This record gives sequence, C-alpha cells and structure tokens, in this order.
Amino acid sequence: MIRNYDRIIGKVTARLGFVIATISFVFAALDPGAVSKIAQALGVGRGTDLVTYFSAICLVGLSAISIAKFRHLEYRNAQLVRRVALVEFESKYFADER
Amino acid sequence: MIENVKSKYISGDVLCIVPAMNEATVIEVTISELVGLGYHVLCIDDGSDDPTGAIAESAGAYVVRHSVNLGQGASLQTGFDIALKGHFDVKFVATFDADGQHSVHSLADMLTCFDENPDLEIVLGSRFLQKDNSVPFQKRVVLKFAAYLARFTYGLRVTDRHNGLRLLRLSAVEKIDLKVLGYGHADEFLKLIKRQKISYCESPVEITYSDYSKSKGQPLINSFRVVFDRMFQ
Repeated sequence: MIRNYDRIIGKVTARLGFVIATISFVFAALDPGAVSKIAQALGVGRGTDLVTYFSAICLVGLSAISIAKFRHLEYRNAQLVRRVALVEFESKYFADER
Repeated sequence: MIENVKSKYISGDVLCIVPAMNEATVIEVTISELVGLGYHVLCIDDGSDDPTGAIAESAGAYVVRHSVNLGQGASLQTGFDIALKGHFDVKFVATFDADGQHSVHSLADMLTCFDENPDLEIVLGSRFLQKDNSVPFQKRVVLKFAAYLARFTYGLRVTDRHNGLRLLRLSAVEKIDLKVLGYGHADEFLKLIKRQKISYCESPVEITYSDYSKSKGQPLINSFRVVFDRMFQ
C-alpha cells in the first residue's frame, strides 16, 4: 500500500481502513461489554487490551500512510521544480534552438 | 578540448554534473579545474542561499537552478534530463561532487575503462580500491559493511556503495530515473543497475577529506535515515 500509494487500490485501502477503524471505535465506546466478549474470544483477555492493540495498529498504519503521502507530494513538488528549472535553463542558454 | 593521454576519448566527450547547495566558498576551484581540462560542466544550483550559481557560471559552467532545495538525487536527475536533451555533444556523463572531494585525475582514469570494454555502461568510483585512501576509521567500517550488505540487497559486488563519482555512458543515463530526492539516491543507483541490467565496473578514485568537505559531508547517523527512507520508496 505504501509503495503503491498513487495507485487507486492504495487510496481505496487507506480510506476503507479509516472507515473500519472509526466504526470500531464508536462501537467500542457504545458497547464495552461486547468488546470484552470479542477480546476473550480472540484470546486477548480484556476489552481494554484489545482496544489498546487495535489503537497501536491504527497509529502505525496512519503514520505509514502519512509518510507515503508526504513522499508522494514531495516527489510531485520536485517534478514541478525541476520542470521549471529546465524551462528556465533552456530559455537562458539554448533559446535559439527551441 | 584536452586529449586524455590514457584514453581514446577526450574530456570534451564528458558532461560533468555538479550538484551544489551553498558551496560558494569552494565551487569556483572545482568548476575551474574541470573547465580548464576541457570538460563540459553543468552545475545544478539546488536552491542555494549564497551566490553558488553565479560563481559557478563565472567559472565557466552552465548553471541550472532549482528554486527550492530538493536534494542531491533530484539534482542529478535534473542533470541527466538535460544531458539527454542533446544540447551537449557528449558521449558520457559524470557525477562530480562540488565540495572538492573528487579528483579530476580519477575521472580521467575512469574514462579509460570504456576503452577496454565497449559494452561497459557505468563506471563507479571506489575509494577503497585506492591503496592509499585516507578514509576515517569509523566511516571505513560503516561503508565497508554497507558495501557488503549490497551483495544481499542488490546482488551486486561493490566495494564502495556511496561514492558520488560516477561515469555513465549516455545509453545508461537513459535507463536511470532517480526517484529518491536526497542522499539515498546512491542506493537507488545500485538498484537500477541491477534492475535494468546495466553493465558496470569499479575504478579506484582518490577522495580528499578536507575540513570543509568533512563539515559538509553526511554524518554517519544519516545512514539510518537512508535505510528508513528506502522503506518508503
């Protein structure tokens, strides 16, 4: 997902993850008992622990997506700056060749 | 143009790409030496705050300016793009540091590698093939270990993974598209050599560690940054 951020599948996965995480947190706040049952079924023990682990996974995922998005924007910015530099260079030294 | 007494190629066959950022104190010496020997010189002023670009131009280089600082990888790619535009009648492109670390004699030696092997596309400089290298101990250990790891990460046997002095045939420049903007571009070079099946060899190069180049050079802790950045390429 990180390497393919600019691809549509990466963007869809990121948004889907955000929606699932939001629904899960709302559900956990509304029905803590159900979260405890899920935690026991998964072998985690307490519902609080399950929420903590899930939060940690969300945090790492969010950080990774943010870094990937930042890198992508940085690269596009670099392309723009380089394109401007090329145009200025050619008009300065090789204007008669254009 | 000055004939290289060792090679059938002349210095005029080479376009030297010199990325520079705030190198006003040393750029004149570096550019003058290259221009004096007949090399075409293209300086990439990577968003300098000082008059690096103006000094490089007055020393005889063509100068292209990034309006903001992008990094050495982006600067080299800008240079490669210009080299491929055909404005310069050259057969080779060299990447050469602005801080005076690299030796023009090493560059001339690298040119001779192409005489012996017509299929050769890239010559990578290696400070560790030079018998009397003055690489500081800590740097030597880290760089040799990094070079050893390149066998596993890229399947390439190189002795110096992060040397900025390279000489490329134009056919190789066409295959290089650097996406890493900063110092991690050296690793991306190796990755592209492997992926694009570019034929390469190493040549001994002399590196001068002056107080200035040490102060401008990358601290070893940056190797961690390079590895981290690679994860998010």
